[in-house]
Amino acid sequence: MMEKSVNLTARAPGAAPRISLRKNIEKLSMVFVFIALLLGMEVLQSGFLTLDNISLIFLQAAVRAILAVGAMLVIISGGIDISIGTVMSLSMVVMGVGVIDLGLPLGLGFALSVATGLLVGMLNGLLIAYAGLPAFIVTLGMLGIAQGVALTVSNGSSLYGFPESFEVYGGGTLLGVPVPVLIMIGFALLMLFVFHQTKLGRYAFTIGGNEEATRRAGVDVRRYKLAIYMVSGATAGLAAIILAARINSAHPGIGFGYELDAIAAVVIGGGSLMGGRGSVGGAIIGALIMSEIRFALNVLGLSPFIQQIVVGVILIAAVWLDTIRSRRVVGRRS
Amino acid sequence: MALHTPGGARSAPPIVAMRGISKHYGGVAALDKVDFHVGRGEVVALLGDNGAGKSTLIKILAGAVRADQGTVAIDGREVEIGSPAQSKALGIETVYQDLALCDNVDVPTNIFLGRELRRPLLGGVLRLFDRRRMAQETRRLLGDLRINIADIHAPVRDFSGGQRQTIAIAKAVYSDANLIIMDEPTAALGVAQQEQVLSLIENLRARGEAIVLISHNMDDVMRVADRVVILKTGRLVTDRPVSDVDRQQLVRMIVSGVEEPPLRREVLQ
Ligand SMILES: Nc1ncnc2c1ncn2[C@@H]1O[C@H](COP(=O)(O)OP(=O)(O)OP(=O)(O)O)[C@@H](O)[C@H]1O
Ligand SMILES: [Mg+2]
Repeated sequence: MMEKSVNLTARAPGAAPRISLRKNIEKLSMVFVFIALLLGMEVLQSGFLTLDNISLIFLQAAVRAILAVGAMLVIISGGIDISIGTVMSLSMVVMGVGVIDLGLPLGLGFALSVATGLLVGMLNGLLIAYAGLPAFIVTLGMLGIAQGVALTVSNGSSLYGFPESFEVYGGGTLLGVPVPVLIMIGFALLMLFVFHQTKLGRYAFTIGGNEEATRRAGVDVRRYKLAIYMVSGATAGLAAIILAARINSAHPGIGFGYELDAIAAVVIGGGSLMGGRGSVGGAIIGALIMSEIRFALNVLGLSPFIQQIVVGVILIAAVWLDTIRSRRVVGRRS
Repeated sequence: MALHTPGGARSAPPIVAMRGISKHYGGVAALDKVDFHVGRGEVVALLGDNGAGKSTLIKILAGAVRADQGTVAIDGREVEIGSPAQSKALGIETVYQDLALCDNVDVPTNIFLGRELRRPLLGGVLRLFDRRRMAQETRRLLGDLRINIADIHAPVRDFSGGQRQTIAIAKAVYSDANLIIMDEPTAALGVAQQEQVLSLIENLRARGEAIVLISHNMDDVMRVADRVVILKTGRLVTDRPVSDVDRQQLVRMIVSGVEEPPLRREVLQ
């Protein structure tokens, strides 16, 4: 506490809110981890460190980063949404049926994907905020429901036959930057605004810090919690578009497991499962590291089965670190 | 807030007047036909042993609990207080011992929680939080109340218990409340931190704020209160100016629940 107040009092009165040193050190250290992992891979496998490979890591990170930013908002508010992976599958399948089977224009298909996520998020939010059910259980149930509906609607198989222009959203580039990465950046900027300049973002932090105090301050906490889960669902719908474009089809089983990556990315990026802490930048760095690890495991020739194990271990380790970190924070209280 | 003139005080209706308030929990009478009022600029200490009904009484004012019987009048007008939001709308602010602040965010965010200041951008297309003004207002408020906080942008968890309590009280004061209720604001605080909170209450009293203070500390009560109200197992024991009691008498009445005759100052001196 002492060492903090030293650099704090130096700030001019009325200055913009201080960007916490500790939070930045955490984020910066994650950037170093990202770079160290790249260098480590280069040592293991010389010739790894190419611009193409780095570009690929970013490209593959786009879907995870978008999911992670949505998950970050939920987790900051002290909640959890483990349905985002299968909701992404469901959104994708609904979009596939709309565009491929019904011949809707792509734009409408995109809207359908986001709307599907929004709707599922609304169901989650209503059950959690208004019926008072635990977020973990509600979204666990929804994970199963979304998966089941996705499989039913698609008859359990992939949907092919998107128009040619669709591929641009997965594989196209603009000024050398992959389109999914551009979408990710645009989405991140939008969410930066949501996090810091809207009541939704602000109250996500205060609800995560002290839900009762936020309620007593006259905030309609239930309404904001509902909105937070709707954003999370919509985010899954957006990520679904990019993922479908990348595989140029709608696969009903592809989303399951992405929730693990997203939640791990959130915790790696400085979010706390106890709520009240986290950032957009952290979620994106976390997602980059997760993609980097997946990419590295691929290059090293480890099977997707082994990768699942590694991701699970990383998630648990990250949460462990988070509990240690949180204990330290509580301990700083006098 | 204007201080009342000695003549006008009598005629003006009290800020809050509760009459015949009863509240039962199963067979337990938490409150039994209690009368309670707070006048303008008055600091009323609400005393009693554990389970006396103090918290229940103020929760009725705060809209957290509904009375079984009795009436509540604000400024002489009878009202229903059905929810915390209604209580706030009636100008009553409650500072709970805990659950008052969000630890993870800074002081302005806490003070302005639920009533953020905003400024238009691009001719009102977007509205941004006016962080500068919220910070300025926070500094002005803390300065007015002589609360010493070096860095208002540190998360509230970085502050001591006493500082946190003063921030919570400042938050209530900023609402321009007619009545501020504090439930054991100095409990669980160290000596120096209690002093911080007490001198804040003294400042508020000097500004003419009406306050209900629940406390188990007789020294605090003797120091800041104008009037004391003692409850015992839900019944009113006494309601009198602080000048008519001393510390020992307060303690005896709290424990026994039997009202004692008022002290005669002249006899004492
Ligand atoms: N929600 C409740 N359910 C059942 N009984 C309650 C409830 N709230 C209060 N009571 C009872 O009502 C009585 C008065 O309680 P209250 O909390 O008002 O006392 P208090 O004077 O604030 O005591 P303390 O000094 O311990 O805070 C007690 O007997 C208590 O057990
Ligand atoms: Mg009590």
